[in-house]
Amino acid sequence: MCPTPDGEQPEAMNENPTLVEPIGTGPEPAADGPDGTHDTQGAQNPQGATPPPAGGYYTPPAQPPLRRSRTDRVFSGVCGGIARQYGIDPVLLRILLVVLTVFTGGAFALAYIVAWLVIPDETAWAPVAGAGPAYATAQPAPVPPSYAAGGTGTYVDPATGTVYGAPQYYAPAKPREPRSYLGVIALSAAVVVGGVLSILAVAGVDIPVATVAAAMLAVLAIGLLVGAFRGRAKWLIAPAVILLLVAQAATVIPRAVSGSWGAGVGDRIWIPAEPTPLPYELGAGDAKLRLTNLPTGPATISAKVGLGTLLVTIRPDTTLVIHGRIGAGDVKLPATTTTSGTSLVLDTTVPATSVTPAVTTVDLTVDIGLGELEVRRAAS
Amino acid sequence: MRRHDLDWVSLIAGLVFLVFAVVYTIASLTDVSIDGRFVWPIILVALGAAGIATAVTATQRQEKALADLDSEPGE
Repeated sequence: MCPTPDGEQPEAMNENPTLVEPIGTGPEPAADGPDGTHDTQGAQNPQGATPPPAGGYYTPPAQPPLRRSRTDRVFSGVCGGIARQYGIDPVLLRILLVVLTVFTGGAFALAYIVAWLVIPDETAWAPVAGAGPAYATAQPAPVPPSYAAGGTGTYVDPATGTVYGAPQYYAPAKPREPRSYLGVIALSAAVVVGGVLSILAVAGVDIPVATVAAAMLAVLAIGLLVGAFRGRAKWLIAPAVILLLVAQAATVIPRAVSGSWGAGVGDRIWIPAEPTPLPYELGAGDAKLRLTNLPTGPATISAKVGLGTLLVTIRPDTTLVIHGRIGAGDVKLPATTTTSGTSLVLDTTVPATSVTPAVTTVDLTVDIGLGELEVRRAAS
Repeated sequence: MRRHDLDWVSLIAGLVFLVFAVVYTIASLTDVSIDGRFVWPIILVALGAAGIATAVTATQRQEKALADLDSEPGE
């Protein structure tokens, strides 16, 4: 940075208390008198001086320090400021921030907070009293070329002689492009698709939640692809990430959850007196399946609980063959330790205890989305 | 709509999300299981690729602009 011509600080007549840094980088203004004093008064155009660039006197900028952006600010301007400093896309930084935060379980958000505290905010351009008009011209003061290109430094307005300086560095934002509705169309179409698929699912068509989320995600992805070539739709990335998370979470919980959408909520007690082919279904709640009243002989039963517990009670003379799956949860069988986990596949037999061979053999198919299966033996 | 420069971030994000959407649709309908731990690292890779693509095209544009300046009749 070049020192001020004679070491003087410009008078800080401006009431704005944030203007604390002296201006005066760059070469000396040509209006200096012969003794080197900084001419703050007259409009001198000494003979032989190099004419200034049209429209005022501009001092080239020093390397701007890193500041949080005021114009490109979603939350605190950290990403906008860093992106501007290094010439990268702020949207990319923001996505990276979200992904890394998810990936590190929230720890990366600390880095963002540290950056927020450490990187100072930028202040806007403000006129500073000081150097007078450098040259009188009849032209209206145009925007200095560096200003338009996003530069920094000082600018002297030739008409009024005001020196505009930024004690901190300010770069105007890129001119905003006219709003493109491509993104809105894509998002609305995704919502419509999600709604239609949900209607079908509730009406009975077996469509898992993950499929609905994936279909909506596909619509957003197509919108993003079109937006890459035609219009601005980058903000679709945010809802797309959310849908991806939903799809991921939903695949852990298998189709039992969505298949049971119409199956109701609450507690159920099912006591079959004879084997029935229709599955017992519950959307969310606790279900008790009492197989104590079944007649002798083989039986096939199936039960589905989306979210909740299924307690199966059998007589001591019944052998229970279980198969099916639990998306996430526990299995408790008599005389064994509890098994917990996700995507549990069930394939076990609970043998009768009182007589062999068993009087009744029940083939039970179980499908639990999120919850617990417990098998108990009745007393008699 | 106006002509825009190719937006690499949207392009790569769109491709990645489309692939994931198809994969998750197939997985949810046919009981194939997906290891969910692949998803976020793949997204990081895609983001990095998008960043590289953006920077490369920006550099090319800068160099072209400088070359244009140099080739103008100088003062």
